[in-house]
Amino acid sequence: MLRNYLAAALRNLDRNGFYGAISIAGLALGLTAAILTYLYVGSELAYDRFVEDSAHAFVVTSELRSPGQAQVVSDYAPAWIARQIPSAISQASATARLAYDQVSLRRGSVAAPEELAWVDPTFFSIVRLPAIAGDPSVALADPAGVVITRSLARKYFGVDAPIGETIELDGRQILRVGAVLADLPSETHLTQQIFASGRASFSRLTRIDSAPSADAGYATWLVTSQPEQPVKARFETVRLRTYIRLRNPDQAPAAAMALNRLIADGAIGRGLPPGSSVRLNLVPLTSLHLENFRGANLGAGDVRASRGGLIGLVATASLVLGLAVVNLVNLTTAQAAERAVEVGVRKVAGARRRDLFIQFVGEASLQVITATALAIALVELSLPALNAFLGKSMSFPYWSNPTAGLALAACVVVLSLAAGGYPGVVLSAFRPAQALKGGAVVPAGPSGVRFALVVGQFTVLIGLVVAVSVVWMQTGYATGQGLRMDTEQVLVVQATPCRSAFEAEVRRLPGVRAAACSSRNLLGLDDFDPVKNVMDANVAGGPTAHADMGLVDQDWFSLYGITPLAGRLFSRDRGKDELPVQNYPELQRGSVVINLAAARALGFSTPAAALGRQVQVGPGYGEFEIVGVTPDTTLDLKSARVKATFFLVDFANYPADQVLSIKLDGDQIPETLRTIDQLWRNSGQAGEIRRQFLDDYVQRLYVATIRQGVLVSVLCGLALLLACMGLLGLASFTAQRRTKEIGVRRALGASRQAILQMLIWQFTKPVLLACLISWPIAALVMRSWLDGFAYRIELSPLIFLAAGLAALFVACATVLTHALRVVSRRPVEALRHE
Amino acid sequence: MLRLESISKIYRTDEIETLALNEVSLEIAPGEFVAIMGPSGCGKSTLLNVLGLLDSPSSGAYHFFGEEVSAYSERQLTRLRRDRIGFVFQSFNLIDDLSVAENVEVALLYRRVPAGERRRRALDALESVDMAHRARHRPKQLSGGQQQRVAVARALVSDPSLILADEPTGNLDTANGEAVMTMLANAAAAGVTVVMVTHSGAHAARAQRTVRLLDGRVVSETQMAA
Repeated sequence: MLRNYLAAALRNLDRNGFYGAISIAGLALGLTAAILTYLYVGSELAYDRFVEDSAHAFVVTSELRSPGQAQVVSDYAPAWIARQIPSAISQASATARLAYDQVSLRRGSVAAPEELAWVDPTFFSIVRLPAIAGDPSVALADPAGVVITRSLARKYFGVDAPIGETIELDGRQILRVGAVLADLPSETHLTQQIFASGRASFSRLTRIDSAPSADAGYATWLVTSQPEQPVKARFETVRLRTYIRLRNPDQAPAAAMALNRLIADGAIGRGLPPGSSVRLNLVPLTSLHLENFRGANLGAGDVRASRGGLIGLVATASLVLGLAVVNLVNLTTAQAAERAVEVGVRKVAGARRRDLFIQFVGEASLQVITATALAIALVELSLPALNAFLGKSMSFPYWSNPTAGLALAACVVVLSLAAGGYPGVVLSAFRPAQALKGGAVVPAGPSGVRFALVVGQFTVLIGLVVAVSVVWMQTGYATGQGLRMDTEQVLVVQATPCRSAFEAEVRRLPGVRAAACSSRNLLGLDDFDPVKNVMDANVAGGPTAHADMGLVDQDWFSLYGITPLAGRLFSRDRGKDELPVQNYPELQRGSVVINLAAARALGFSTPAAALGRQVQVGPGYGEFEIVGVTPDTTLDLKSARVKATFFLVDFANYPADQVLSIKLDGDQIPETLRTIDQLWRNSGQAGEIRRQFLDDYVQRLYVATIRQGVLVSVLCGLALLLACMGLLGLASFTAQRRTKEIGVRRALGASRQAILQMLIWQFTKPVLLACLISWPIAALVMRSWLDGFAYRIELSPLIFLAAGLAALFVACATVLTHALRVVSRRPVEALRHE
Repeated sequence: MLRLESISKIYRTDEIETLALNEVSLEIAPGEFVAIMGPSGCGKSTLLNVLGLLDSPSSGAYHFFGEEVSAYSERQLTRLRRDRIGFVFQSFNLIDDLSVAENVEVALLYRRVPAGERRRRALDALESVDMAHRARHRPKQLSGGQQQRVAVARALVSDPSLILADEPTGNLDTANGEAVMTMLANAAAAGVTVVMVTHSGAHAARAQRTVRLLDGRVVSETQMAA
């Protein structure tokens, strides 16, 4: 029996090679896309699972709500929290902090800037990373101890396990390698490759612990220049990740509650802007990657996919797979008419509906199995390229991993039923008498279903085209125009203090068009700290604004191409623009420039209304005259609102975290870069120069979005291909069935054109309907996506029109090529056809 | 024994009602060879479909070898068809994707006959119609006459009680038509009931009785000389 079925199935496929090929190829492509997408999403969801006993490891995160600012969730917590944990949380068996730093390392002739993590010695008992030499959990008991990865060991020492060897930090300190870790996989939140002991006297953790006001405030303020004048704007905020190991993971919510009670009890409050509130949470280590953290995510280059983005991707890939299945179903039912005679004969011979159903599901499963085998091969072939693009090392272990293998098998079964079930039901329902009458017999219904399926395919397609267009347009806008700052060829060098001999020499270089100093927070640069420089400001009689304080020099605005909406910007000709050393407790006096968001927050209805007004900033900072209002500029386009910002020229009092922005002349960049590096080395600054192009930084901010944009585009392209294939198959099949009809019409005098129009119109109808259905849905979805951006493109109706026209064009072109062949036949041939 | 009692068959669409069979009563003895004749549209094929359990009558009773089947479900009819009836069609209706031998095997496929026996019986049937040498060929490679012979083999292989032939020689030339008629006559001689629809008076003469239909009614029955 099986042989009979198999023979019929294989030879049927062979005979209808064209349609079979379309169905199988389409399904293989759809499966490949789906598998790759699920692999990617799976890897995003599996971050940090390689850590031993990861279920017990948690990170303290915080949510900050400030009036006038968007809510900020960050993976750092106040520095003092760690000290409170042993008494507040009985479940905690270990606590450790991690603070990162940009340093320069040297061993012999090998020197390079690195990102280093200062950690408490208990860190590795919570985050248990696999080691290849030494014991990480004891290596950091030594204050000069350091734990490095195998790659770093090879880079600096040339061997895998240089236990006991030393390495130089920032040209000053000596560190000793106590243990070596296996290289971390890409699926981890840790971006550092070197972990140094927090016990070292020169570690950041020690500096934090010894700060006088280390216990006070939401953010620990470090006094830097003038210890007796703790003015807020002069403090360096400390950002720490705090890790906890809980004996019982289920106790996490209770532990978080205990921490929040500490806050409620007033243990902090002085550090927060009035009206703000903070809430702490305990997040499992393995969920850290997916939390939507904004702001100072520790570690540069940390690009994460949001849960929403991942869900969108899975949905899209599933839709594309659905398209491929639809093709299979459509083509099979279309061919049902051809099998009518066979069905009739088998029924006459005594086949029951069940027998026929099984036969056709079996045939579908043949196609599905072939497509699956093809898909597996395609996945293997394309994984290396995908890994390179995503910076991952995913694999598809369907033969070794029982879950994956089972999933694949289940998938084959489900797809076979889906693809073969409907045709099977339809075909087995034929009445033998009708079926054997000869000629095509199309049972009522299927053509309606086929129409609906084609409409569905094109609805998905048009929606995808719209989505992809909008995503790319917005990304291009966001990284270009939307910044409202001219970031082309701007090099940013971390230099504190910025005003120095180095800066003066850089300005004089021929390849440098302009240079300007500013605080780091104005350019983002891993420093979207909501609280660090926020102060209260108000104009007499107006509401209190919570504004970010930003330090700039007189060249900054022109370097970035920012022109005022009202008033003027800073100038060296105006003495009052540059603030002198503050004589505490006297208030500072001088000029301030504010942005549009600040003007609104202060209660001004127009920018011009703010000019000349006196604004108090504090408490206890100063009273300034507003001399200019700038447009809202920001590098963080992903947040929905731009922060209210005050710009001041206050180099005399500003303590730390400054940057030098350098606008380079496009012709001489390589030489200019070399010269700048040389100037830095000559200037005697400690460590290697830390510089990057601002454009690169902005691009990296959007890497996750861009990556997803590319992935969705690829899926969209695939959807297009599948829709075309399906349409081609259907069109050729329908034309074949209508051959006699076409012959009759031609014989009666219809022109070739008339026939062409008739065939094309048949397939334009579903596309037009698909447009009407997909436009409103796509509009709704994309509008809500765009609302998450402060600056966004307009959803022009042209986008939708273009997508619809593109789909129409594709459909027509596909059908046309086949229709032309049909109409060029002579009528008599068509009439003879049976 | 086949007995039709006042069988009527009405085909209904939304707008039209066609009375294909109008109170037809007929008796056919086991082993009898009956020819059914009449002009186009007189209901010959419909009568054959009802006799062969391919279609249910709209009214009347049909006793099929002792069973009253006019109200049987599709499942029950299928079972009877499988066990008792063989068909020969005007347009052969062989399955293109199967070889000649496999086409004949289809008749045994749904009877759960084991594969080896199936193959043997199929080849035997092909032998009896002189087509065993083409067992592996596809229907498309055969002439019309050869295809019909295969179809007859398919009808015979399951040892049916009844063979229904709908214009079996309509698409064949004289020689091939003669050959097929001989096969049917032989089957009848062996005790199988054969009911044949035909346009050819000459071929009808090979049957024992000719029934003429007109507009859905039986208008005459003629016994042939033995």
